[in-house]
Amino acid sequence: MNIGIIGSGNVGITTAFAIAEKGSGHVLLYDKVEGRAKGKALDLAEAAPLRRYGTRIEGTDNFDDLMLSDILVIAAGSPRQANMSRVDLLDENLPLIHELADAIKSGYRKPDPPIVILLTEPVDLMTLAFIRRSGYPRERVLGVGGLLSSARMRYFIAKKLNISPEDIDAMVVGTHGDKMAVLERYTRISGLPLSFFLDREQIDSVVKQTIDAGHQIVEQAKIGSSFYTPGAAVGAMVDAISRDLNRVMGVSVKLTGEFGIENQCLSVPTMLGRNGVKRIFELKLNEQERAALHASAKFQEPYLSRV
Amino acid sequence: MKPKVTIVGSGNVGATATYYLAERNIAEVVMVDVKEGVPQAKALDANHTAPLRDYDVTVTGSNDFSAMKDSKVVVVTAGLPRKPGMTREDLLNTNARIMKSVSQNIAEYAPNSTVIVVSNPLDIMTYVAWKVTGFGTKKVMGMAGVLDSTRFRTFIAQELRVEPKEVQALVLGGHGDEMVPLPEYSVVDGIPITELIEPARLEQIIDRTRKGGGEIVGYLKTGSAFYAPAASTIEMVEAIIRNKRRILPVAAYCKGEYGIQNAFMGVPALIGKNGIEKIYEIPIADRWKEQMQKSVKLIQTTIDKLDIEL
Repeated sequence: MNIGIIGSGNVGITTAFAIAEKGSGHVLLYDKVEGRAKGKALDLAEAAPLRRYGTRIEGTDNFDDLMLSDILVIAAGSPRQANMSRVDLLDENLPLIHELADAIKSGYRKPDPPIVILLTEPVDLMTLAFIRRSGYPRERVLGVGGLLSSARMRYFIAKKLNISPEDIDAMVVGTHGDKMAVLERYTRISGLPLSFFLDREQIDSVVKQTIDAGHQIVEQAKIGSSFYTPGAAVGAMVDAISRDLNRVMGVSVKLTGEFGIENQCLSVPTMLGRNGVKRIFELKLNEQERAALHASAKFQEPYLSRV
Repeated sequence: MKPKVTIVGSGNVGATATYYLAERNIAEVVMVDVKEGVPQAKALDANHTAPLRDYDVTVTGSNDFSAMKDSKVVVVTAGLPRKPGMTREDLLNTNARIMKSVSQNIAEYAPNSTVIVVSNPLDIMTYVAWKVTGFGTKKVMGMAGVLDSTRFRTFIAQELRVEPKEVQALVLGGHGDEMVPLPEYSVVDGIPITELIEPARLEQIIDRTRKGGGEIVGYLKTGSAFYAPAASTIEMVEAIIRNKRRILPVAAYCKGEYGIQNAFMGVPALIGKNGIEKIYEIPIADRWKEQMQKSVKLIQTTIDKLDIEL
């Protein structure tokens, strides 16, 4: 598969590296700044003999070169700075998403639409904006959210319990941000419920860490937002799609009545494969869990008319 | 210097486990078997793949148990395989004698090792190994639950058409027919399979898992499974060698957990550098506890009938 990455900042190139190391497909890096994508692509390509990947990595500053990509990753836009919430970026990044949606819609040269993966914040609203503007089917336009937060949560649980993260599943749904909903009952260690390993206070602390995780990195790094874990998350999504793995992961997808929510994008558990989202898992939520997901949706509601 | 792991037995399970372990590149691997030339030959063959398969550990084959000297982990696969129509118990006395002799050698040459028993009947052989080596209860465990779980995970993944790695499942209790499946603790990326698979279909999948080993024996007629058993074993070896602290279902010596005394039973345990770091006593239905206790009674009766001195 051919994977085009729009934006060659930290998130874009880390995503490219994750894709190369997994061997999921050939990468074409793009950046509007002349030479940037070519230079970074060359640097990545030259690491191949040491990192042993056979993936082709190229760079371009001609947007049209992306128009044969099977998957397009949008890693462009302004990142968060300290003291900023994700929705603060709405007005700043929206014109870019509209511009990209128009350019892709008019220029794309394959019969079926590409699969588009967005990282631009606020990601759930940007995913919705892209769908509205492009008219692409919801199965093919995905936002990065739940998978990223669940990776962080798995890490925090593994640290707290001093156990291997590979035995941990964590389920984070809803909006990507302070109102994300952590579903404890679906957070498992070798299949066993989290509550079996941690008491109430410890679980609350892990949930808080998960919600604050992105923010904490912004505050500490001072020069931008996280990119290793977001890049790894997109890498996993691209791998699932390009190798048709049917992996189950939380991604932001437009809901059309699932969980009693419609016309907005939220992270929910999905099955990802060749054509994007193949299935949305409608969990049998209890009242409390449903309320948490709906609170997440409600938080986003006032912004929906703005995209 | 990488730690040493010895695999006793160079049959299909032992040799495949040896090869899988070499590929992980985490330990020097020694394969010991009494059959002259066989471990040496298979070790050489495995070594020859190193340039292609990208590992730098050495595989050594030997007929001499002293080759296991100072191993960090010893895996025992020795014993006769089950033939069609043969129950696990039929193999009992022959394999118990083999196990006793291997265990004496382990106690002599690798007194600080952790022992993973793979030979069937598993719960009994593990008990023999523990008794004869005189090792602490943390240092001896049996491989069965990881195998039953990986079969269950595979069948669930096939049913739901999801990636097998995404499925976590805990299968406890005795091996095969006596296993205790826990669908409520079996999940796909955190989602319990009870939300995804109809009860009647789930029952069929559980039944297939229960008979997973038998299904393969039925096809092969003169042999039994070895890929999945070897892979399951190496999952446990790696957890110990790399101190991964994984939560895996293993046959562990129980001191009252699940109402079981003085017997090895499949339970969830934390596996790390010291072997069994912890046993988790999870809430399970009374009928499963009863089944485990019934299995234990059978194990104890069988052990009492062994014609070897423990």
